[in-house]
Amino acid sequence: MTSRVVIIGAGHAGGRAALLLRSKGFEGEITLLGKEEFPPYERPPLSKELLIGIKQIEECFLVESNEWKDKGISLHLNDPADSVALDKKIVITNNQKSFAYDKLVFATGGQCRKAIFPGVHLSHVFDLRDIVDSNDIQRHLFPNQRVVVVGGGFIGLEVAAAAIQQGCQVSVVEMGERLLSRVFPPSVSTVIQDFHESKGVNFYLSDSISKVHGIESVGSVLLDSGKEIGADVVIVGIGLIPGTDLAENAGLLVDSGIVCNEFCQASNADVYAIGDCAKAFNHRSNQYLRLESWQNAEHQAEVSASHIMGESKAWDSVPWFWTDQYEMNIQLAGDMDLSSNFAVRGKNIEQGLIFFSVVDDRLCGAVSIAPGMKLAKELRVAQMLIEKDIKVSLDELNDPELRLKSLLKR
Amino acid sequence: MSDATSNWHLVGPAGDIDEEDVMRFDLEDRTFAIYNTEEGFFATDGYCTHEDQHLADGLVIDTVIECPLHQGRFDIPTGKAKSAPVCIDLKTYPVEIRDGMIYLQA
Repeated sequence: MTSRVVIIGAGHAGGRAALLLRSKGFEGEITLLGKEEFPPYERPPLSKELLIGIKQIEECFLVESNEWKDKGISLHLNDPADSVALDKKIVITNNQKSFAYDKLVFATGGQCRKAIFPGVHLSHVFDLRDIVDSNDIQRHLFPNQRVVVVGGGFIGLEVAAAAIQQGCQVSVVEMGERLLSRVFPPSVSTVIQDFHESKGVNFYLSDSISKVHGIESVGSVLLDSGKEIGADVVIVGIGLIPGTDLAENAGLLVDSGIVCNEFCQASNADVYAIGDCAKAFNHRSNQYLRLESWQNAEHQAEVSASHIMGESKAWDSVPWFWTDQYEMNIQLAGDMDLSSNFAVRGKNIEQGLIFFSVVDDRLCGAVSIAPGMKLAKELRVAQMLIEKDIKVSLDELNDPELRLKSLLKR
Repeated sequence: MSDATSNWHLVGPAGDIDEEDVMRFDLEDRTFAIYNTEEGFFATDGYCTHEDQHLADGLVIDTVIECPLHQGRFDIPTGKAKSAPVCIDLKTYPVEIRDGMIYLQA
């Protein structure tokens, strides 16, 4: 019988798993161990609303701070887990506290991939993972600051948008020949680059930072191409390294993520892994996936909490992701197959555009780009078309007269 | 949830909302979501209880509305929160169709 659940990592996934266990009727002890000083919070606002000051830290919290105590969830902040003994079923923290468990959940997230160029240790060089990072960056975004963003991925582009909104002069350096080239087809990359350029962002593609110059703080960056850009702030967004060290040291199977089955169970049946750190078997797509998204934190928290409560609900989500840049909302459902043809609906970016990727008469991915939530409904229908494995063709999807939702009734 | 001070307000033609869809309706400084479902017309508060987001931008599936921002779900007739991240129910309001027009009591 399960009477003690310990969750390592008090981020979004870990916090949600604790809350779900309670809402599902779990009456035993729940211990949540976190390395940060803040209670569990959602990360999407860190690179958006928090940077432009339209949201406060407290608004990112999963629940009000007092609710952890009210729900009988024992929250230990500033005290990360240090080691796990799978044989004794015990977790030891940095402060040498030990916690025995019946079921253990790893929700250890990850750390920013560190840049290695000379000058990376100068002050005013930042990366962005947690609230403290976001606050540090926010203080440096003000009119006429020269901001260089390293990495034209989602975090980099969100930070670039926020910096423009704060009146900064913004450059983005991306080593790929186009933006977001691993997830989006060229036509989508072009649309995104165009609207950033129209807001004033300068892009340096197929280029990298070779050096950051400065005395104490940043003064300029030198690129591999030989160009030099004046800079007051450098913000690095080049990806995440999953937090797997603790699991690996404990003897769990790790392969660029903590390897789990479709119930988010790791290679030890009493141990689960969820969120950014987990590489779990996705039942629908029949493959192991490690995803870094808000949705994944939510869904895998649900899968693990359900399984601990004795239900068998396999992880079968269609990946879904959104990013906000200026007034534009971009959403991705599934995966775009970059080698196949695409259908496009919509005439221009003001009305919104939605791109569909079809393989073997099935939709495998869709991307919407639109002001605000204009196309959220359509993208959601696309996600359901993937979920339900409904037959579609590129011709149908290209037909502007077709009501997308009608396909769901097939 | 009407009270003594609530009145009936004309929303517009019932034909303006497709079946299995939702429309935003603003009344002074308040905003509502008006639904046309297989079980009839309904009204709830217009904003999601999780974060300020117009539910009228969300997808109606049978008698469930899903918020476009985080895909939290509510049962339309009762306003009940159905799935994380939403946990606070929506307020519901009486709706009537008279001569093809929608009326809301709020």
